[in-house]
Amino acid sequence: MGAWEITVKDLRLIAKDRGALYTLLALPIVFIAILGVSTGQLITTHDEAKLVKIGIVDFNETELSEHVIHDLSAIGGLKIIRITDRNEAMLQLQDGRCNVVVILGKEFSDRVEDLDLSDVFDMDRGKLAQGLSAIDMHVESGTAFVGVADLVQYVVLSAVLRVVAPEVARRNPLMSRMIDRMVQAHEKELEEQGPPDTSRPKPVKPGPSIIYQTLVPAFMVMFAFFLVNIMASSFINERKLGTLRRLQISRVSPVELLWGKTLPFLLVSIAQSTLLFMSGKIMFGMSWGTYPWMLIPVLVTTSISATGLGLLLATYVHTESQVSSYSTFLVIVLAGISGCYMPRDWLPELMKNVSLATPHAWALIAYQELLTLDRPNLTRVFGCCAVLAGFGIICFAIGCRRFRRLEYPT
Amino acid sequence: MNCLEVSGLKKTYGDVTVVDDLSFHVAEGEVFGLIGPNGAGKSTTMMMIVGLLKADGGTIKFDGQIYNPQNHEMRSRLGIVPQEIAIYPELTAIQNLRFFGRLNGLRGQRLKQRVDAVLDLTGLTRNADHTPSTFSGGMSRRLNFGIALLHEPRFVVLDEPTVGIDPQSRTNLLDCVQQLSQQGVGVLYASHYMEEVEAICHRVAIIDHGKLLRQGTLDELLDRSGMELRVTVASFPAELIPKLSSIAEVISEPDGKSSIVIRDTLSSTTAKHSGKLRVVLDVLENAGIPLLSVKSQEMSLETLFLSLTGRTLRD
Repeated sequence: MGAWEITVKDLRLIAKDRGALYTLLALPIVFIAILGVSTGQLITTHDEAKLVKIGIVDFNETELSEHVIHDLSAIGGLKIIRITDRNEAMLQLQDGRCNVVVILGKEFSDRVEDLDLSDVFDMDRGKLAQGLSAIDMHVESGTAFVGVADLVQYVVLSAVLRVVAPEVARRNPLMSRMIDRMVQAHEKELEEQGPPDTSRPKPVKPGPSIIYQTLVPAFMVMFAFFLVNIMASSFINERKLGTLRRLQISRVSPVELLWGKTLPFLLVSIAQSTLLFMSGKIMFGMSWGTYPWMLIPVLVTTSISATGLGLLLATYVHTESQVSSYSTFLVIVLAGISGCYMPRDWLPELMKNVSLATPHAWALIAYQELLTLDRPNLTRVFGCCAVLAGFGIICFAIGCRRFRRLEYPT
Repeated sequence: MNCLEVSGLKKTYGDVTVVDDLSFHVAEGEVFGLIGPNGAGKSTTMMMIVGLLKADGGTIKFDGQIYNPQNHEMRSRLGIVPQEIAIYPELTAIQNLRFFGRLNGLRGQRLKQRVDAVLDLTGLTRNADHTPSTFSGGMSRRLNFGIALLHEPRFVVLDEPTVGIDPQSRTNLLDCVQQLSQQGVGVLYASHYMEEVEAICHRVAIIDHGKLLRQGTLDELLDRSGMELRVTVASFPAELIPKLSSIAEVISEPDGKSSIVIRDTLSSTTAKHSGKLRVVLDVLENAGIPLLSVKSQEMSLETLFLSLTGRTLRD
């Protein structure tokens, strides 16, 4: 009961401390919003910013050319802009409204008609050895893509071949029969497998917001550990005011006292993380993954480990400057080691192994599993939660022991 | 019956002995003063009594039982008014009182009654909903004091409760202490202010360097030390000092004059004082030294402390 009284009191004090509230709740959101603006992915602009804009001028206007354009537009990350005039297309390329211009000439379908199987399967020696011009197609790259113009040509050619190759193959009667038989066999195989399992959760939707699947949890983990500072300061303040002595000689036991001092920060940490996830979803279209409910244990155990560390630190520091230097060191260094500043996949293997000594790393692994994989390994996620909870509980136990020894002499 | 019995209390930090074999007791309804200069060991003694510091030796008993700080019931018999103002400045007076009241097991109607009673006792009823940041130093001290009384402790430890306080608040606090005494609460009162100690304490212990120098009622302490006679002359030749060294002390004053001080602290009587004064006057007359003044001063705690330790309480 005494623990709850202390919790309520501390929540009241935190609510009155606008600086602490700002650091704990508003700063992480502001920080992530700034990153969102910097990477051009904030709110509605995020799709536009990262799309490659392809201007298409279709002088052929046949079913085949429509098919090619439709196939190009289905490729993720491309935005197809239809343009009727070649000069207008070049103008848009120059001023950056388009990154690439693809022109399908009047003879496009006829030239495709002239292709045979050898042209498709032996591109080095057949008609396609000349490239796209062989089928009356032209590709122009803008300044942003001029260095990779050949790559752009290659990508467009691949997309065209995807449509053209089956057409050419079907003109050969032998190949046509073979294709029909293969299609039938594939359909039969699908029938035997039965209808698709609709009970399975929807996989994570790929797209530009996938960046936030990494960014939001990384900064959320880092900011969760910011409260180490505020928590240790709260203990220093109690000592400075002399109220800690009053608490100590009240009916409250040392464990109750520490639990009462820890619980408000655990609640604030959970609120902070929840707020960040909600902001991520609302502001950046972030996905909560295949199993959104699994975020709860990860979020809670991450907060437990952060508050446990905060309590432990509080038993080691005696001045505000010690709080400031130790907590800054802990927050920045641990976040750096664990991979909060960059995707963990970028870390060298040695660093990845070293980072497992930090609670941050386990939280990031769990979030990565849940937020970036279609089928996360839940056993692995629960394992991470166990490590995080264990870290917090061990820190709390050591903190209790130290606190008892320091403040309750027997 | 004794509320508190302290026996052979000892505390050392390395080679430094902060409290050395200290023994005293406080009866129910008694206000016991603990006086000594800064660093005398008062706060250390108090911290050991309330269980916030481990004693290296000796025993502390409350109501005849060895004090165990882990025992909630025993702990709740104690109230402490720390030297610092141990309240939350962001919470209002009533929020501070309710919080500490709940921590000490008060709930519901009982809590409300006690909070109202303490606000009334400390004269803070009208300021109950204000935060201490709007209070004067005296009001904050009164709130600090009131918190210790919420759970109606049987024994209260007050560590310099009136530092930096206005006269009105000082009077209020001293009245409160006397009320506690009348209700049978034992009080251990540490202070620099001798006039306060003389006004409210039934018995006093004087400590310095962790040692108990004297203890007893004020009458016992002050009667035993008797009076101080101070004979002032323009100057006193150094060669005459040995003639008086056995009966008086010769002090050079800042204004160049000399004072011959007759100070018997243990068993002097008026007759003995008179005899010593006669010897001093004879020496002065024989040497032809003109007398400027003769003053007698009744012994106070301040002068008693000076005579016992050679320094003033505020040194």
